[in-house]
Amino acid sequence: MRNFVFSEIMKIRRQLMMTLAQMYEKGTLQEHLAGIPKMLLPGPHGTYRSSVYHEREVMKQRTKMYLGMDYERSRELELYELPSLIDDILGMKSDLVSHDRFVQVIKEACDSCPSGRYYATDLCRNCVAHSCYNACPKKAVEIQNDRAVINIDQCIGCGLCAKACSFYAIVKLERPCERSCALQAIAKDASFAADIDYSRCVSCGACYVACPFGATESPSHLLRTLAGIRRGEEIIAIFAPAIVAQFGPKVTLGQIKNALKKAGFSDAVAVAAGADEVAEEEAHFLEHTAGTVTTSCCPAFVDYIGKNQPDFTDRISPAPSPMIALAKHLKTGAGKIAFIGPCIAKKLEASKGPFVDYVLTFEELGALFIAKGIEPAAQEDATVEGSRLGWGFAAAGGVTAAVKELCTRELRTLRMDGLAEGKETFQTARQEKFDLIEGMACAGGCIAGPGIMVNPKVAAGALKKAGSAT
Amino acid sequence: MEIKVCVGTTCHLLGATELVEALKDLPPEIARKINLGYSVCFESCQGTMRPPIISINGKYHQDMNPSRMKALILKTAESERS
Repeated sequence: MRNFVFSEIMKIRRQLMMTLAQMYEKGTLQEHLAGIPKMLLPGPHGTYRSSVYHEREVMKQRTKMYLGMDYERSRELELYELPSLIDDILGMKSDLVSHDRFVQVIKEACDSCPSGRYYATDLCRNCVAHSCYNACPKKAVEIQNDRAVINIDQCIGCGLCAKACSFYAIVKLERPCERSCALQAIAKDASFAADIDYSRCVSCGACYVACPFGATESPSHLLRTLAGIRRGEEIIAIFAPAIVAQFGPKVTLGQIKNALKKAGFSDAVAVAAGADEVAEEEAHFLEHTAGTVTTSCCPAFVDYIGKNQPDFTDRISPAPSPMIALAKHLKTGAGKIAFIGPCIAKKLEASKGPFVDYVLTFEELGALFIAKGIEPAAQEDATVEGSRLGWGFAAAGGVTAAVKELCTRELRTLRMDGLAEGKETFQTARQEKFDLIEGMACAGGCIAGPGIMVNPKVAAGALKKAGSAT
Repeated sequence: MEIKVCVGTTCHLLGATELVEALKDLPPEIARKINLGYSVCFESCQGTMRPPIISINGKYHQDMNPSRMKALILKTAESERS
């Protein structure tokens, strides 16, 4: 499970989300849109980068994505061109809106950092043994000015020199995005900027979390949700169990439910109720099935199976994800459903069916509350739906625990905790017989997803107390 | 020393949780002197001050991060001693 460290990247993202949402609510967005980068990055010197013009350009691209636009298709548009288009964009009538790509690289923000080669640092002491020099099969290590230098034309990237050095002076240069991606879905474009290979990407959002330049971004549904509320749509908010503790230890789940209703949603229901139903359905299914079944609640995991373990595609649980299970019950004629969770892949899952219209992350929900002037802590408490088993879906191991408890026969289970475990998990699944394979794209489960606001360890503690006894 | 940390939604989104965590890491001789409280909102973040905001002995400080906050607390403790 990843550690959670608050960073300037989060601050930039959240500040921009808040600004856009506040302006939209005040009705001043069209008027002030073009001035946002200059307003938030006043200069004359850069706040986060050496050039203020560079950081404003990045913010311009990010602003368009937070309006819900596709990066590639809107890249050349200036913010001052948008006011006349904005109603169509937020009404999703424009072809500039992103429908199928929810993880994109802002090329202007990408630092094109070096990767794939080895570099001898100044920790090199020019020792007598020269183990690096001797270990290299290609004679790519040279000694210049009293230290080791790696000739990149001859280096084949085997790493033997790094292993041989007694001072850890040789490091492998890696891009944080590439390292974070368990599926090797990040390539380089012609100018060496990161480039997502969508034939491999499952929209897990690991690179969104990993990039220290904040170059990976996800087109947002925040403003279009606010637009839907303003149009008077009946939108039911359904919130994922990972929401525990997201608004601080003092805010209860009931207060979040009431805050959502006050914000303009016609109702607010815990997805844990849908998870309870899924657990029942899977337990029931397993009682009558002899073969292996994989879970279906994590959309990135389902996508992973399709792209990487196709022989298991027909083993995916027939139960829908908790989000879809609940949305199916709540959806009425013209009514809309907004899913609130920690997840980017859910945007893609929602776009594939008719049940969920809007997907917000917890960060975006925070911005929505601020724009509406609502403090969750000031709301009255209420009871929330879902048993402890349904709430447990938010952490790795939770689905397994729920299905095991509800199934009358003994189950042999296997878990893939994070995409990095994928290869090994499915290798094991082919050698031995398992009844249930639980898959979570994010190690630790949804509480460690890309759109979280608190440390997953804190959320895991709070999760133990959530939900009614069964 | 009276310290209040705003834990309203705006400050929460912009890093108030980190400040609360950082307060736990203060040297014990300073931590002993601190009377810590939380505020839902100082109602000054929307426009006039940049969140996250804390107050030390009634005075507001904006745009806090753990290191800036620690420095402020140490400075205040120093001036209280002399």
